[in-house]
Amino acid sequence: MSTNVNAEQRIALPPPRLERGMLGWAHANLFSSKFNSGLTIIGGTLVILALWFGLKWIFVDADWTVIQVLGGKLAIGPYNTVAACADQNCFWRPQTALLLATFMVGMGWGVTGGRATKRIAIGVAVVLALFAFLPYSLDTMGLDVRLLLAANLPSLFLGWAIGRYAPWGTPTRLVLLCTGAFFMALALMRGLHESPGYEAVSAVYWMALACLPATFLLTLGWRITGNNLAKLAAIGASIILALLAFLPVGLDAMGLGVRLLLVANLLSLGLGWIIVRPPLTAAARLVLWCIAMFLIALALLRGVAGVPGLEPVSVIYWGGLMLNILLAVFGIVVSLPVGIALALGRRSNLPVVKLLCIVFIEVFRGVPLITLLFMSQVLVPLAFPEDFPLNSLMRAAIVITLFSSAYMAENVRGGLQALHPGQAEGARALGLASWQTTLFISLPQAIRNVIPAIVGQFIALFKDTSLVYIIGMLDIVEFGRAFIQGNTEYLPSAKELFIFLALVFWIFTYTMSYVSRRIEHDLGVGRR
Amino acid sequence: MVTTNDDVAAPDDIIICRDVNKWFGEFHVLTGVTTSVKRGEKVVVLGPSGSGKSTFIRTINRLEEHQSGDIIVDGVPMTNDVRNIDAIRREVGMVFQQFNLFPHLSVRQNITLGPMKVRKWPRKQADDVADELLERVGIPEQSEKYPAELSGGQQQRVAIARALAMQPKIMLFDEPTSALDPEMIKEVLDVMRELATSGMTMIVVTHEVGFAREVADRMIMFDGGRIIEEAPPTDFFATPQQERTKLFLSQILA
Repeated sequence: MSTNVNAEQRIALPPPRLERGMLGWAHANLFSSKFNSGLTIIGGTLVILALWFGLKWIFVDADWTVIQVLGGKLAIGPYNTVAACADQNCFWRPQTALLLATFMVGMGWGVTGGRATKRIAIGVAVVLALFAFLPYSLDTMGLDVRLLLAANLPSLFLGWAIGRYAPWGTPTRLVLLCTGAFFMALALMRGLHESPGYEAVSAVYWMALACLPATFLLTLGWRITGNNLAKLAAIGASIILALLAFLPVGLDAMGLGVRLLLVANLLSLGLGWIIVRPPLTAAARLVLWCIAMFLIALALLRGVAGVPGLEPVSVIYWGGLMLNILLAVFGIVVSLPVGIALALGRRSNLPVVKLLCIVFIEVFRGVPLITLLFMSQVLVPLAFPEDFPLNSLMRAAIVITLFSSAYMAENVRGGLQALHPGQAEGARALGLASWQTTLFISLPQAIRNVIPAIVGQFIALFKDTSLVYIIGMLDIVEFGRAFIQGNTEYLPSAKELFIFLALVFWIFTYTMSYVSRRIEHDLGVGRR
Repeated sequence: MVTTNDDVAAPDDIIICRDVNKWFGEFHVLTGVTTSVKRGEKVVVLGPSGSGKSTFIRTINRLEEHQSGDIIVDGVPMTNDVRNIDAIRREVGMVFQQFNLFPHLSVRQNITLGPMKVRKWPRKQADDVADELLERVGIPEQSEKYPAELSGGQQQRVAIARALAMQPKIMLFDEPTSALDPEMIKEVLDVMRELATSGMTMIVVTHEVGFAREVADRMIMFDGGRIIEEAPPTDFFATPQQERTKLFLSQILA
């Protein structure tokens, strides 16, 4: 009997009043000791003062006209100026590229169905659509610009619907791939057009180029229909064309470029083969879509000579936030796999591979990014033939990526070192090959454990993209700075401008760290 | 591929070790180990720590490389040829002291990974086998959980199921209960007893004397990297021949 009473008492007793609710929280966290209470009071006063003066400056003292004047130019830099695009009618191309981006964000949401992705996707599209209603006059911000901005919402939902309901259905696949192949061919032609000696390019060159989309489409046809004749044609044609590259005729008769293009038929065979009915997870498919869309966006921004409305815009005019984002997206997407490869290489048992990876990592980590960027413009051209189609933007993108991947490699290596050796032993005892052990056991765990470091590197990379000012590119920061320098009446507004720019960067980096926290949470990092 | 040499090996020997030597740097861990295990035989390995007993069973599936001597498992000689090693590892399951479950995979994924990636089974078949094995080790309801959500005993039973999913002919146990609380030891030993009655060839490194008496066909005593005594459990525990064995038994039975 008495034990029963005790049990009831144990259940019924409420905790002391000071440990409950807001009061309890404040007691525990703000006023737990004399020292703590003092800190709370001093800190609180500072916060209130900062808020008071900060808000007063933002809403009363500051003059934000400089942001209004710059407007969309902060987004695209000098892309739509007379120098870049004679009739100043190119604004729709970055805007369409943006539509492709929201399309992909939407698809990311559709495929993963994650709550964080959903929030970000809707947030991005709504903000962009709201930009369509900015209170500029129609002369400053035309109806077409506004429509293209508002279109981000439907574009998002289209992406979502495809990601959710038709992840890789045959019709969408075919349409997407044909568009991709078409634009890739256009981009190639465009690149060749700009290289010196274009006039002298022979008909052979064009024929070799035309073979690429042909073998690609042939492979697609084979993979989609499963027709044996198409299979024979696709494989046969690709191999024969690649073999033609090794014809024993002089380099005068058949240049290096033609030979490379011929060998590339094997690539288009492989690409066509893997893309249709790929042994891929939804995530891998999403990545493929992203790559295709990224290439299409680049081709769109670059333009194609001779196509009305798609006049080429040289990369030296690409600028503004667009430039930062392009460099960051390319850097992030490429530096992770390169970094992983370097990390694995550094742990390899083969001394040569190991040495090469160590040298690469230590060299790129040991040199400031500014120096590397500078060298990319001055030294790299010396190392390649004069007509090598590598423009200044591509060189900058490659250098930023390599720099970042050296850091990434060390992050990933840290994650690999931290793994218990029993993990690999367990996998080997099951009979998994060493590449399977790496792919299914070591890497997933290593990367989960270093997500914060990896995302930190992504954030650093995004911020570092503004260093391309050193090679004369007008990213969002440099574009704003140059504008103030050139229009001295705005000189007093410099602080408003830079605070705004800081806010823009912060929004992006904070989004990245938010995503990272959600990913960690979803993967249960730290719990299992 | 070489088949077994008939001069030494009886045809039903599934593991043959001849003069196996191994060094860790300068330290001679295994000093000429020679023994063989018959199909379906249960062998329990005893010995003080550092005597090489763990190293010995780890050479049988090449988690440790031996430097001289022959190891032949199910007719396949252990050489540096990756194909031979892979062939042997497919037939030899192993259970570790620290479980070594994969923490980023669910219980079911831990079990199906090997069959799907190594044996190339379709997912359906692997899932069916996983369910069957979880039933057999007594935790059918835990298949969607992650290892960290299970108790030590449950984790070790998952590890046994994971090894069994590869349908091995031989199971190696490296101190499977040493990291467990007393009340969890029993649930793991029960699973191992059941496995023994099913006819599996087993080599078990353990200090669980009761289990050894009950299950083992033969006891092997390791000391200083060598087998110093081999006998059926009744003789081994009642009338040990070597002084070292007597001393060791008196210590663990005390």
